[in-house]
Amino acid sequence: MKRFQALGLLSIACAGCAALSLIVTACDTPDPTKAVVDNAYPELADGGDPSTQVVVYKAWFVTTLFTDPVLPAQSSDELRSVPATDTAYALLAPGWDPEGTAPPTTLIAVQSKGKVSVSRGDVLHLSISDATFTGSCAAKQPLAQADADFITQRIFPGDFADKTYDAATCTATPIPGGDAAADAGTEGGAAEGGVDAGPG
Amino acid sequence: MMKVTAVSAGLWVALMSSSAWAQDPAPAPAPPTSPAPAPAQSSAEEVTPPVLQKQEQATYPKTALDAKVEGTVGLELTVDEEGKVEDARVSRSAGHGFDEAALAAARRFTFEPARKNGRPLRSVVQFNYEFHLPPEAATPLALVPVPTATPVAPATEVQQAGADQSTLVLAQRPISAASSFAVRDREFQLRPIGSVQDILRVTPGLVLVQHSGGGKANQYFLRGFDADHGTDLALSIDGIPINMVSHAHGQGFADTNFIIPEVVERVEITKGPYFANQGDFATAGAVNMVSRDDFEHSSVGMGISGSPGHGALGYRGLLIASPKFESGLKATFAAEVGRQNGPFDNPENWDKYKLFNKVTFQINPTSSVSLMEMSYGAAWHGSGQIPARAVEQGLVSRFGSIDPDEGGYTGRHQIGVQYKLRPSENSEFKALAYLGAYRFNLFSNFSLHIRDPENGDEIQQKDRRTFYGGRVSYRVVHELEKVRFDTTIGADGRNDDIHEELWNTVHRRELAQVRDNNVHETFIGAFANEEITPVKWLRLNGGLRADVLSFAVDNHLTPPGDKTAPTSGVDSAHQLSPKTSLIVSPLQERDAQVDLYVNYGHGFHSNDVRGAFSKPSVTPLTRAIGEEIGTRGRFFDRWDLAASFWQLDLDNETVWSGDEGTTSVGGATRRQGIELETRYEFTKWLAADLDVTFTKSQFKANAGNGNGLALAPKQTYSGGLSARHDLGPGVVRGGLRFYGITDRPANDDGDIIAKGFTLFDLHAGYRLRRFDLAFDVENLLNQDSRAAQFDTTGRLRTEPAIGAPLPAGFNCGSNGKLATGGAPGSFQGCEDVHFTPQYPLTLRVMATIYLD
Repeated sequence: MKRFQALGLLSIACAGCAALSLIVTACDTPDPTKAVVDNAYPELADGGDPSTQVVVYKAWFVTTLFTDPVLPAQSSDELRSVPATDTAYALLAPGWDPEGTAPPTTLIAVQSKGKVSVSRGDVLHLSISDATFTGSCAAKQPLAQADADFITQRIFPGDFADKTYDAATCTATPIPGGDAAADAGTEGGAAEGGVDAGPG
Repeated sequence: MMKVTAVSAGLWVALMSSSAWAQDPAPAPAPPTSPAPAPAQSSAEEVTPPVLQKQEQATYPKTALDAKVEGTVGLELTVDEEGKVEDARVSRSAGHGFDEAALAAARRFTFEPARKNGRPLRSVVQFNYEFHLPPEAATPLALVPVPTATPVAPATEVQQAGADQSTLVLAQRPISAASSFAVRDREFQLRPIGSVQDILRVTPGLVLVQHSGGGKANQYFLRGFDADHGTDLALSIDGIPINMVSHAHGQGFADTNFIIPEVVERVEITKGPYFANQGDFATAGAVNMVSRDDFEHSSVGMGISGSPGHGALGYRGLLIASPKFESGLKATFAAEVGRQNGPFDNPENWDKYKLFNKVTFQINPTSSVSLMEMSYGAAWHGSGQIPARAVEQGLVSRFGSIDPDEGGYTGRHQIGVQYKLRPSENSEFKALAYLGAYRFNLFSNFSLHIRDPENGDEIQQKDRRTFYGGRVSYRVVHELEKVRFDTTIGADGRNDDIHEELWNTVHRRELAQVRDNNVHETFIGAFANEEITPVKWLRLNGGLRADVLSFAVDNHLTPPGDKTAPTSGVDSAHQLSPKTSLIVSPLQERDAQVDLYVNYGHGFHSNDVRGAFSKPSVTPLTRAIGEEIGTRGRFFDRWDLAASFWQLDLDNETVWSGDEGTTSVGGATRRQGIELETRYEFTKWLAADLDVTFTKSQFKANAGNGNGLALAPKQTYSGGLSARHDLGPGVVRGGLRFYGITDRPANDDGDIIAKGFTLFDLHAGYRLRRFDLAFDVENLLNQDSRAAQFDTTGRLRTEPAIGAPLPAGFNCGSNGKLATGGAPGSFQGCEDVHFTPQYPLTLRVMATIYLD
């Protein structure tokens, strides 16, 4: 009986220790991991020409899709994400006015220059600019074509449906016979985008 | 010195002969016991009740004395064959220290033991122990047994399902199937209990796994069914159904999270479609949880839980108020709040509140009425089921998430009123009525990026409903020429008014509506059951149940080109379900009691009635035909053993796939299985149990895959050691348990495997006067295993676009395969196991202070 009581008391002591360890580990934050897109391109001056601004049209990091456009010098809403280290991807819409009704005529695929990382409970700030993301032909940082294909065909396929994207010129061209070819606006936009967002 | 004026009045010295009492094990009215000196049973003259020989006087509690409070304590005493009180518990608390005083005295009582044919029997006795203030204090302590004695089999902790504890005893009584029984709270208090799901694990052969975030219903595996959220398992609390018909997420969705586990007093379990009083969903089995009328003490509890190294701590607060009243009134109020984060990288943030209110009023000695109310609200983030290949590739950890916006919010509020009447000594009438409101919003993403490669395949399922219904039953026992007839007739009904929507969403923002339905569904059932006991060793049971389902679907939206969308319509369906059982009791000796069972019965589960107006259409009711042969025995008063062989045929495996918003129709299936259960009491304080099931499940028609049936469990097992013992001034309790399931096919072809698992849990607790500390360790060995698993065709965002040429060297991971269809050489997604991980080693501590 004494042995049993000793075992019981030992169990209770262990339980107490475990409870204490739980309390000690309570410093873990229950906050979710989040991500936010910061458009680090220059803000448009008062009265400036919107066609000169670079809008972040969409962005993607591991599990998190940013669907709302982000104006220069502004940030997106915080969205839930997961702890990860990976490349981030984005589409830039130079010269596009999100306030307008027309969709962007030019989309440029970019990716982070290195892998970005976020830890549990932290907020990842994806600061997007020519300094942190590569792929802008205007900044003379074109992507390798394979990387561009990956972005346009897998990450953001909807925006490049029936188009081919040329990484060297940052232009999207309708595939002959594809649905996009019949979409004059998109076709024209792509062509126009090629002019606007090209190397020039 | 203050004298105790305790007067006891034994309510029922209940001794029942297993052969004399033939009862339906389902949640049925309590079998009538005769309060008359001469019991109705033919064997009454062979049985004598225990007689009190020596009584001890209780000490009037000082606190009660100072407060000038009187009280009556209901006691339940287990008297052994020598007439000693083997166990004593409070069945009705009076607080103020009365309970402890009465218990202390009662444990020193001695009896002349109950006897059957002169042979001493173990028995259970119920008493009222009354405490009165002076001047009545002059009255000496008296213990007056009720003027009834009913034969009984040796008492055990296992009792018949459907037993009414307000009038009957803790005793193993006749049951109608080897796989039917009830488990009291005393049993599941020896297990890690963090939720009601843990309580349900007392059901042998039932394996539950967490599914995509705590706020959702669990995945239930029973008798070869992957009862997705409850399609083939009827769950209820106090007779009020939990399963939701035509639910937006899945037919029979049974979310038990609204129940505070502490309020569950016992669990009544039946398996198979053999019980006339059970209707929809009771094909694989039925589990009814019975709530407490009151608690011995009011209490305040606080707990924390967490998985070291994973996630963040959760907490749980619990308040139970159970004031004591005279004049037959019992009341309980319980409230729980908590947050659970789980081990996930994407914290669940599962915030919830639960309320439980119950008032029971004993109108007179023969009738009572209970009013129950339960409320629940919760919001959470889920991590979904993640593809195994995503973990293999290092895209996310096994506790990661592909769509962190999964989750949802839900609420359930229900009231019920239950009336019990004993019109005569051998009859009983019961009535139940209930009304509830329910809402449910669930965001899920199963296929990830197939349907919408841009925004993802996230969907929202909405369900808003009111449900109401009721049940009445009348039971009478009579004898004719020494043949006992136990007759039950009853009826039940249920109505659901449902509004459901299905949306495509991104970040929980609605993009496009896919479904918009109003559904009205009414069930009406009637049943009759007759159990005949011609001789003590034989019982014959016959029952018939008739169910009618009428329904109307009003479809507000049919997306263009969606040929599977349900249309509007009105229809009905009905089914007659015969049931029969034969029970033979060849051995009823002291050291060996054995019952043999043969069962046959028809049952059904309903399908989502929207499927009746879809293409292809789905039959509203699916008939199930079950057969079973089994045995249950108790040996040497310490070894329980049960074995059964069963078979269950379903007309079709039709389910509403709420995950996708479409119907699917499967062929007829057959399931066969063997279940073995055993429990052995090494000592009065240490017991072990083991349950093992083997099941073979298959389609009746071979689709070229060997009749394979996806996800059907093949083998399950559970068991453990349980102990409860005095330790110092208090009582220590504990349990070491394991449960598991073996590998099973994830798809019909069997080439993708849902891996099995074996988990160990540990529970330890210590009760010292007004303080209780409980400590649980779940997944003691910290095993990496998978809980809910599904064969799912999906596409990660980084995988090739659907229809794109397949890149050289691309594969779908070690357990997945390329989905078929489309142009040759094109990518159509990966068919892979998507899973929710088992929680890693998880610690939980709960401290409780008793207030009175």
